[in-house]
Amino acid sequence: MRITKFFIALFVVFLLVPLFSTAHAATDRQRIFDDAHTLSDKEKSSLERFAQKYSDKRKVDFIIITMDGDEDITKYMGDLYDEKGFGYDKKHGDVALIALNTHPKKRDVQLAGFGEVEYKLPDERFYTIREKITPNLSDGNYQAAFEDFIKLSARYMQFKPGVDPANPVYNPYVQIIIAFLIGLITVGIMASNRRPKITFTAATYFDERTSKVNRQEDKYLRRTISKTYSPQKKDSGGGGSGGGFSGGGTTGGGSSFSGSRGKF
Amino acid sequence: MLLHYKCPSCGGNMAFDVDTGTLLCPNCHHEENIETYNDEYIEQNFDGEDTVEYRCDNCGGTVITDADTTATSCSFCGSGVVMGDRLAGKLAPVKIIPFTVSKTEAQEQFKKWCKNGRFIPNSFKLNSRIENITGMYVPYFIYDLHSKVTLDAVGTKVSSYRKGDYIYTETKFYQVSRDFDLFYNKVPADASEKMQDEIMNKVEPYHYEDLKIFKTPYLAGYLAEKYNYDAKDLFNRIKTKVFPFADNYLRKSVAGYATLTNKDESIQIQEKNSMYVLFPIWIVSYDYEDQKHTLVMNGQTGKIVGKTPLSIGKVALWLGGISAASFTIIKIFSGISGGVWW
Repeated sequence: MRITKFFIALFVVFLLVPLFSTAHAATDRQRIFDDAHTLSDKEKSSLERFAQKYSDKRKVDFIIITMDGDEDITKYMGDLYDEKGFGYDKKHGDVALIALNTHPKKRDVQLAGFGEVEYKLPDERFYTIREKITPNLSDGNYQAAFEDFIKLSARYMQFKPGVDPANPVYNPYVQIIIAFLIGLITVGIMASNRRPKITFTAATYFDERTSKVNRQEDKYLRRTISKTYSPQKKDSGGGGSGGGFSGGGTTGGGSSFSGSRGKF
Repeated sequence: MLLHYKCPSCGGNMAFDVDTGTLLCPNCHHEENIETYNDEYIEQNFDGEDTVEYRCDNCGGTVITDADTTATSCSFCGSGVVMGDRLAGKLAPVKIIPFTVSKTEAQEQFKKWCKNGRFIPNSFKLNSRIENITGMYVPYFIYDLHSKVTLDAVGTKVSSYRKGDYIYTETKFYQVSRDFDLFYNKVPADASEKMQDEIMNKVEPYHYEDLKIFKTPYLAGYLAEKYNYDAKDLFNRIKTKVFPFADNYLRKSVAGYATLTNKDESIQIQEKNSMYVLFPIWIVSYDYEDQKHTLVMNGQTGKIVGKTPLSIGKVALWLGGISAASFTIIKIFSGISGGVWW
């Protein structure tokens, strides 16, 4: 009984942990460069606070860039990074960045990670993040998409290298559901063990000495063969590029970054 | 006709003793082997036929019985009495499995069983009830059965393999014939109206090496009932009990076939022999929150059958506890492997 109470207490602590882990902010600086005017003033200031909160928490700058024009988004983003020298505690420091070109002919999105972030968020993690926020971008819910980008990047960069952060095993809700199912199954088994069972079988009363097999024959009669056409798939041979996650690159100024690029 | 079992050495009333398997005199501890116990010490007391009231010869009190009771204790002096007229003629059991679990053992087992019940409400106390457990001989019919199992059918076996761009499916046809004589011995069916078949099925099995020729002294000190259903009445129940045995045997013998068509199948179950016997149980009845519960123990093997009340609170606590523990473990593993704790 005492053990049960201990576990319940532990459970509650786990639920409360995230509520207390929000640190508070320091200096203000521009993190949103919304040249394409995707956000209202109100959205912009709320998003700024949001970005700052996570920047302070992770010691990483979260930058949002939008533009509307012919320029290539990757180049635009790289040039802006070189020019402004983003970074949390130093110029050209640790940055996670999202850049959009909202021009109807382009509609490109580029995610990028500089400095430490390049290693903490390799291309495949940016790819996952981009997949998750693209629906919101396509629908024009820019604020929600930007917030999701910040939240997901901030979360994913904490995971050990080589781990897929989007794996449901790491989802707290999935974890709770799995734990609850384990509890449910265990209690179910306990309860059903309690219920009396029938403990006799045919073998209990079967008389092997007198029972006999008079006939057990399997006479082969004939066979039929049918054939169906099913062409073998030719192996495409020599596996394509080792995972199609390339999305990083180097800016004009020579800063390398990880990232993922796509349309929305 | 009421039977008393008198002690040859002191004249006291003897009763069956589990530990020694004999008649034991509670006064002078004299033991009598049931097989050799002399009938002259059985005191008979005639009250006429078909009566429900018997006069106890020991104290003169009136023993009032249920019409099915064949053995009981005098409610005034406590001496074990047996209604001889209800165990005579076609009502005479052929064999009996005597108790091997004594009253104290049964009480211990019941207590232990309840203590292990993790979902039993704290407010539920069986102890007072366990003091009043009843040892009872339940009437059974046991059947020796012959089942004739035959099957004729066309069976198919299917295999497939690939050659180039084609998949070949080969179906082989067989003439399948089976003819089995299956014997099932001493399959029991309880013959008492009062006992629920469902519970009594779960009390099984009894081990037949202890099956003894019936003698009335085995009943001394216990409750016993006569049958309400005879061997003919119960045969259908026995058939439904044994049919799956034979059916399974047949299924297993044709397990390799994908399909069986043109089937000519028959399973005939016939009675070779049946026997009226008495099997022992310990029984506790109790009320809990307006519900009647019955716990039954096999008086030979000690197997307990019955339902105890369920505490929703305790179930919830266990559910919560196990879920929380699992969650902690999942957290630890995901934390170690992923590097993230929340």
